Amino acid sequence: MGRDDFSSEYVSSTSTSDVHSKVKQASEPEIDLSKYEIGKPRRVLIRAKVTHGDSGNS
Amino acid sequence: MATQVILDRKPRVAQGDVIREVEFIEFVTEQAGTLEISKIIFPLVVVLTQDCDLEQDFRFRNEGQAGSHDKYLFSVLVAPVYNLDHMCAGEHLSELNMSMQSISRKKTPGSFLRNNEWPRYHFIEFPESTRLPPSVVDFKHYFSLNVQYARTAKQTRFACSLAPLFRDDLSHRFASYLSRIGLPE
Repeated sequence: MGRDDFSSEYVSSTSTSDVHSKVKQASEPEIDLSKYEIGKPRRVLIRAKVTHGDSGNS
Repeated sequence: MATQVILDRKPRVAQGDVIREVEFIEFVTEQAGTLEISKIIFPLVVVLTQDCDLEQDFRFRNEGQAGSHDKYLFSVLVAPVYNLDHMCAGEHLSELNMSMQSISRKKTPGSFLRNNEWPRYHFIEFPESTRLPPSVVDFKHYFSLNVQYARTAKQTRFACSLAPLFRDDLSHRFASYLSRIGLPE
């Protein structure tokens, strides 16, 4: 979510009763930090049965 | 200062390329008719192989130099790029059941890391356009990729490429780390 998206949401949802909390919310980082995440390396183990399609006797 | 990057993708693999979701084959065994393959998937790696070698390999493979394979590479050297936050917590390899040394961000070790004063590590602060967090290359964990695999990975999962000066800095620091003189304990 970029700055513009947040601003439009903020404007549309503001009421006079909770203006302080909204202002506080608006001053928090507008960047969706989850999109900046790099995960951790992970291990994958694959097991497969070996089959022989051709016996080699032909 | 944020590291400068290039977001345009060259057709070939280049030194300083940052690629997502790269697989490293740990081992392949076959026992009693069962094949076992263990691989580690690294979320992000950076290419370390010398760029002129990569360029020559690409040219020889694509232009065909009179039947010569003199400049072909067998592999491309890369190093993992870890999330700084995970690394400082010592948890970047937790999913591999490996416990790593934690690094205090606010004290001298964290400062050493960010200033690239620690030969083993290379700190990269990616620009916001890449949508990548502050990260660290661990030179000790370098590994190699099959050339064709590296090319396919770049084509499909390219993140960015370090700009020339920053790429050269990475390359020099890696060479320096690899050629260090090991002193006894």
